[in-house]
Amino acid sequence: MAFPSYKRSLDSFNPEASSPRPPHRRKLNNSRSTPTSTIANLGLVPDFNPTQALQQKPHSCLKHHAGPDLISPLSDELLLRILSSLSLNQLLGVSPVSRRFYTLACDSQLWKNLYYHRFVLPRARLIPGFGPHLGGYHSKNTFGRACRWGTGHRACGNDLDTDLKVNNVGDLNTGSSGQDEDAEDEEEEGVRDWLEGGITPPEDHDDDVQSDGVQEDPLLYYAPDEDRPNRTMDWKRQYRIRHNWAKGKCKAVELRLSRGQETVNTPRHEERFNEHQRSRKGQRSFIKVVQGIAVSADSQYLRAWDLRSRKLLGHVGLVEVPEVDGDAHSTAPSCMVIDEAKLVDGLLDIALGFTDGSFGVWRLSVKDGRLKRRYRHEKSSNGELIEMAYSHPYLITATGAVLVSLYTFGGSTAGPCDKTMVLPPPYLLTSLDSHTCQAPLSFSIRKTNSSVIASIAYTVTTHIGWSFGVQDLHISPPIQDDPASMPEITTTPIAHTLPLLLFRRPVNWIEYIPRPGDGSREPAESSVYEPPFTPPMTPRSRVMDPGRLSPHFSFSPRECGPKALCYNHPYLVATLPDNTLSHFLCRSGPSSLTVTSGHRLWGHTSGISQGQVNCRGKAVSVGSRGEEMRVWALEGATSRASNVMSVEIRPERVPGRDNETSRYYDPIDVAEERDLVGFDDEMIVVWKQNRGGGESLVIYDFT
Amino acid sequence: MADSSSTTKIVLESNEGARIDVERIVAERSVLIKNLIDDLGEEAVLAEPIPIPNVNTAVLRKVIDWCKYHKNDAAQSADDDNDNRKKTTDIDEWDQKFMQVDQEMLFEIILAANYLDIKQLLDVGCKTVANMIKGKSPEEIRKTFNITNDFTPEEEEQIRRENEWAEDR
Repeated sequence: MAFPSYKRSLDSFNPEASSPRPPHRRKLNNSRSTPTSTIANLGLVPDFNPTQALQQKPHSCLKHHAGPDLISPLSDELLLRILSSLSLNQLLGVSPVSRRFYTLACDSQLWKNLYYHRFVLPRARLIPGFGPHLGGYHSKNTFGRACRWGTGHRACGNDLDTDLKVNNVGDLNTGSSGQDEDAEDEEEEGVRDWLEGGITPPEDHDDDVQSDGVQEDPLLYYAPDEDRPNRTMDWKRQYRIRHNWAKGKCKAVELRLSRGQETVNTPRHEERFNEHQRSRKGQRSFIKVVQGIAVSADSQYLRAWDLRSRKLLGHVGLVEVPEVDGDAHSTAPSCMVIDEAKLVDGLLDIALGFTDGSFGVWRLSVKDGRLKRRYRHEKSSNGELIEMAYSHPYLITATGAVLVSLYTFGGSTAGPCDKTMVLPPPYLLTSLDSHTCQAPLSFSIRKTNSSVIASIAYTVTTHIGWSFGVQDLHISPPIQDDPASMPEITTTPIAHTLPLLLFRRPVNWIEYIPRPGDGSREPAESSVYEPPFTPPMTPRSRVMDPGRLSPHFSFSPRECGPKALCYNHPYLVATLPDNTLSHFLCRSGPSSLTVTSGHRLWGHTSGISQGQVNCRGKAVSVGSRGEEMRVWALEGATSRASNVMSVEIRPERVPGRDNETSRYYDPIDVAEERDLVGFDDEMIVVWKQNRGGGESLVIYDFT
Repeated sequence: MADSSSTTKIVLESNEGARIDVERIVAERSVLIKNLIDDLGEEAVLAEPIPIPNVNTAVLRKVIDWCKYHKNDAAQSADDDNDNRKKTTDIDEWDQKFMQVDQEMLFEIILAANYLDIKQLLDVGCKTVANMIKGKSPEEIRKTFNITNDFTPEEEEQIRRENEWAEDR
C-alpha cells in the first residue's frame, strides 16, 4: 500500500491562513535567523512552519469545544495513514464525524487495503508455501506464478468481476507442494503487485485464460503489464459487495415474466417484463444472465432485459416463417447459451437449441438493444438438443440421446462476416456418440493462448450409483493464412469420478439390491431410489420397505439420478436428489485429464433445483421450493477436508416505494418451483413459477 | 562504517535556537538527516549545527529520546509497511509510554516524524491516534479531537444508513 510521499503533506497546509491564534498557545519563536549554511541551500528549510500551521485554525471551533481541533489541520496523507490502521467498522464509524473525515474514510486505497487483507490474503495463503514472511522485491524476469497472480488475467473491461483468481487451483486444492523459495516470494510479490498497482484488479471470465496446463508452460499465461487497462476502482463498493456475499445479505426484487391465470389482481407495474400472455402454458422460458443482462427465450420471442433498470432492451421473434408448409409450433427452444466474449464491445452472442434438433445463433447489441439472427441451422432427426456451449467460432451441442457435435463457424472468414453479421453454415468438426452417457450433461469451452478446450461432463450409470465422466477436446486453431486449413482436434482420455452412492443406507440395503432378476437391467436406478431425507437422520431409523423397491416401481434416471451438472473448469458440481451437491476438481493437461474424488456439500434442508459454479469456485445452489439458497466457496477445499462452508442467503425485502407501481418480492408468495438462472459478482437470478402459473425472475442484489 | 563515526556527535538546532548534541547513529534514524550527512559529508555536518527549523525544542528532544531508544532497531524496508501498520494495537510498551503525552505534543511528534522522515515513529504516532479513534462513536471522536460537526442531522442520518451494510445482524 503506497501512499503518495507523505513528505508532501507539509505542502498542503495553508500558511496564509490568518485567523487568530489560540491565546493559550505558546508564542512562536519568530526571530529564527535564516540559516546561511549550505544546508539551507539543500531545501532543508521550508518556507513555513507546521507548528504555525497547527495554531492557525478557525476560531469558531474554540467557542464550541474546550480545546483546539488539532487533528483536522493534518494533511490528507497523514490522516489516511492514521485511518489505514482502522478496521472496517471503525472506519465507517469515522465517516459521520465531519465532511473531511467522510471523504477520507471513503478513500479507495484504504478500502483496497481492507479488501486485500480480508478477501485476497487469506486465499493467497492457501497456496502451499505462501509464507507470512515478506521478502524483498524480486525481479520479474522469471515469469513464475507471481506473474499469473498479478497479471495472468486478460482484462476484459468490466468492473463487475473484481476477484483475484487463484490460477493455480490445482495446487491450491490438492495441497501439492514443491515450489522453491523463489517461487514463493514471487507469489507474494505478485499479490502485492496486484494490490499496489492501483489499477483494475485481475479479471477473468468463463472464456478467459485458464490454469489449464500451466504446470507445463507457465510462460503461456504471462500477460504483460501494459495490457491491463488503467482505470480507477471504487474499492469501497467492491468491499461492500464481497461483504454482502460473505454474509448472505442481499435485496430481492421480483420481476414478472408472465402473469399466471390466478394473479388477476396484479397491478400494472413498470417492472413487469411481459405484457404478452404466454401462449402455451406449462412451457417454461429459458433464461440466462450475463453481467446484468438477462436473455430469455420462449417459443415465440427471444428477448433481452437490462436487470438494473428492469427494462426490455430488445426482442426478436423466434417463429420462423415456414418456407414450405411446415409447422412453426414445433420449434420451441430447449436450451440456450451465451458467449460473452464480445461483451466488452457491447455484443452478446446467443445460441439457442430447439426441440426439433435445430439451433441458431443471434447477436444482441447491448447499446441499441438490437437482436439479429446470425445463423439458423436446419432441424435434425437426432432429436431435441438438451445442452450447448458456444464460444465463437466453436459451438458444441448434445441431443437427448447424447450425441455430441462440435461445429465451427470457420474463423478464417471472420472479416466480411462482421459487417453483415450473418454467419456461414458451420462445419461439423467432430461428433461423439456414446451409449453409456446420459443427461445431465455440462459443457464448457475455454480458451488458452494456444488452443481451445471444449470439455464435456456427463453422467454414467454404474451398478452402485452414478459416476461422472469428463472428456476434453483440444482444438488447435487453423492456420490463419490458409483458408482450407481446419482445426485439429485431440481428444483426451475420459476421466471418471468414483461412483457416487447417493444415500447412506442401512447395511442390509446393499444385500437386497443384487437379488437375481431384480433390477439387473436397471440396477442403479433401483439401487438408489429413496425419497429425499435430510442428512442428520440416522439411516437405522428408517424401515426399509421392499415393496417400494420392486422393479415395477421404476424411476427414470432424471428423477432419481443427479439433477444437474455444472462444469466450469476446474470445478465440476453435481446437484443430487438427496439435498446435497457434490463437487469434483479436474486437472487437465495437453494429453491427460484427472478428476479428484467427490466431495459432498451438506447444508440444504430441502431439494436442490440446481447448483452452478463459476471458474473461481464460487457455487450457488437454490432450493427447488421455499426460500433456501446457499453460496459455497469451493476454492481451496482439499479433497480430504469436508469443511466446505456455505453461507445461507438471507434476502431482505426492499422497502416498497409505491405498491401501486412496483411489486417487490414477497416471501409469502411461495413459489411452486424455482430454478437457478445464473449469478455474477453482484447478483443471483432465480426463475420462479408462482402458484398461479405465472413466471417471475427474482433478482437477489448484493450491491 | 566504523564505530567511531557512528558515535560522532552531531548538533541539531531547533527552531528556537536550542542546540542538542546527538550521536550520529541516533540522528540517522531520521532519513532526512541521514541523506543530508551522506550528501554533504561528515566534515560539513560537524562544522556547524544542523538546523531543524520545523521542530521546536521540546518536540525535538522528545523525538531524539525516541531515536536514542530505537537507535539499534533494524531499519525497516518499505515492504514491511503493509503488515506492520495493519495491527493497530501492536505498539511497543515503551512506545506506548512514550506516546503518553497531550494531544498537542502527539500531533507535533507526528509532524516532526513526518518532516524528519522517521517512518517508525510516524507509524507509532499514527497508531496512537488510531487507537484514540477506536471504539468511539462519531460524537465521542468529535469530542476527543474537538472536531466541528459540519453535517446537518439529515446528512448524518444519511451516512449512517449508507454504512448499515457492515452491521452484523
